[in-house]
Amino acid sequence: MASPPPDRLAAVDRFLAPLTAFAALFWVVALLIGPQLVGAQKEQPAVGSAPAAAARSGEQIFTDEGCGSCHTLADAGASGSSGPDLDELAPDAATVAAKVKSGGGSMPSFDLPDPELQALGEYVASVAGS
Amino acid sequence: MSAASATQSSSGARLLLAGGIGAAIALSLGIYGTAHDPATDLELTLGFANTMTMKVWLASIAVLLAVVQLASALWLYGRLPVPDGPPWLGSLHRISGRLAFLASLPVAYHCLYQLAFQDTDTRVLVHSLVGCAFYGAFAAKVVIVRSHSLPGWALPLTGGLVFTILVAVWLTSGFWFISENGIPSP
Repeated sequence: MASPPPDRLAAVDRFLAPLTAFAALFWVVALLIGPQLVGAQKEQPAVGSAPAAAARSGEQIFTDEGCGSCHTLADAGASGSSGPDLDELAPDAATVAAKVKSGGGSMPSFDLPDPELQALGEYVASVAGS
Repeated sequence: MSAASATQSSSGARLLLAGGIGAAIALSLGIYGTAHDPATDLELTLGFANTMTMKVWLASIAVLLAVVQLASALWLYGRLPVPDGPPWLGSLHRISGRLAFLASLPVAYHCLYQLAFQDTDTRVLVHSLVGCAFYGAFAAKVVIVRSHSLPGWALPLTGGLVFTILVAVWLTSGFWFISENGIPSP
């Protein structure tokens, strides 16, 4: 295999140098501003609303916590595929709450208050497979 | 003060500056990850099947590129039992490092923004810590690369540290995911 011409690699390096700095800056700005920069939606909590622990519905928690990134659940419009398909699995509420609380396998645990765990479990159990 | 001791003092100050900048960045990321509350369902695929697949692939690509950078560094320093490297080796070394860094950015963004700093188990805690440390070490290395008259051990030590931390980040995330679930189809 022929060696790449040194001037070509040097040119690539010169091109990448500012690009790398710009990319780093872009992602830092995205961290500070939010995911709108990368095309995702950020839901802003309403000013003066009740505390999240008491106000979020199961569906809201499913969306907020990013469950749909890994799981499919048609009712929530989620089509994640790296975790079990909840429509196929159709777990009961207690199983969902326990799994979300303690994690396991490749699923992380989520530090949610008990009312939210219950709401999330009841939501998933009620809509999975429907 | 002699010229030699002045140079030594200046080198020490630069090393301290590099370490300080690195520590500040690592600490800032840790604080951000702890304080930040993502009120969003962030799906970041960049053309992959899903977010998790994107993260596993890009993290693994970053590690492969880091291996190229390590090997080229060893070659540049004459630590490989092969003849002197070709003239383009330095460019290859820099390009592989830049690409590894670029590949890591979307992965780190999702980790920091969506998952944040977590300590739910040992693996997750170690991943959170080394993930923050990686960018601190990387920043320190950039400062050292751009400094002159530093001790000869400074750059190889920092480069080795960056590589080691990146591998630790991958072992506690991408490798762990692959060992649990297999290689995800892109």
